[in-house]
Amino acid sequence: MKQELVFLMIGYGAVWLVLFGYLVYVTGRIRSVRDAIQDLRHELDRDSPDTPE
Amino acid sequence: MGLMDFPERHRPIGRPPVFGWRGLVAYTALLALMSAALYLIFIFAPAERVQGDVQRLLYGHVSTAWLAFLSFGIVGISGIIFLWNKDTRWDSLAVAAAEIGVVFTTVTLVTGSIWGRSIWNAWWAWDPRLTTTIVLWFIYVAYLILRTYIDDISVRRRVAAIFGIFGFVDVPIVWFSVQWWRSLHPVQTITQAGGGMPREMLATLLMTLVAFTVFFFIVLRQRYLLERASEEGDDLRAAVHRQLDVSVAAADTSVPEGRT
Repeated sequence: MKQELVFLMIGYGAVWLVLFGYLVYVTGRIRSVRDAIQDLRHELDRDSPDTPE
Repeated sequence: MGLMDFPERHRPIGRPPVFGWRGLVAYTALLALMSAALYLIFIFAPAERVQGDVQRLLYGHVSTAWLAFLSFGIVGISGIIFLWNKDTRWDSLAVAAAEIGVVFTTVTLVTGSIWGRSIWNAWWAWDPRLTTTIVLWFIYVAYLILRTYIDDISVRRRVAAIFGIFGFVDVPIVWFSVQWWRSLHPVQTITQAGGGMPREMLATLLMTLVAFTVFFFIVLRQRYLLERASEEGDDLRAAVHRQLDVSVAAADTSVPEGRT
């Protein structure tokens, strides 16, 4: 394969790896933050003085 | 639906919205546009006479550079609006745009470096455009680091807004660097009267730009939602701590006299 084609493939490989990797990372972080929020809500509801015994 | 019509701060964010029907439409459009861009880049567009196939890197390189400029423009405008109306959603949008801008600038620098290695036989050169672009990258990395070092949230937001506004000053310097100083980069071939680019290449560049722009807005929305969710998480954590303090204080006062 011509050397310039190798550079072309590496270049576009880097583009899509970084961009889609970042999108996957952000989406995954939203999931984990959402789970943490739900846990905190449960903790607040459980410890709330208004919670019926 | 406008960009600022995202869920309110104290509303549970629910599942990531890209997985709803709107998400399906967005991702389908992205897939179609990316496929079309790939076809145009690798098959439709002619190879450049001097550089050969490696010149096809231009389409991704230029598109990501323009979108990085757009990101930093959003940071600056969001900063101005935040300082004016103190609506924290603009601050969240600024953080999201700054981080995405850094990602896009990184891609621009990496593709430029690979392209440079092929045609200049060097991974890096202290060319005006390269130098001003790496300065731009450092400015917004500093913006993101700065935010983590200021504990007071209202001070952090104000300082970040001012930093983001002034940071944008480097964008026109990057843009005009090829005209102001001698550079290895060509002057803007698209904006010149008559254009220096064949029609097939121009169409490929525009298609790639559209595909990457759709990607940009999808990821901007996701990152914005993440920022809002993180702030909601911080508020809830503070509420849990406050409630714990109240419970401990109540337990202390309810201990009967004489008992220790």
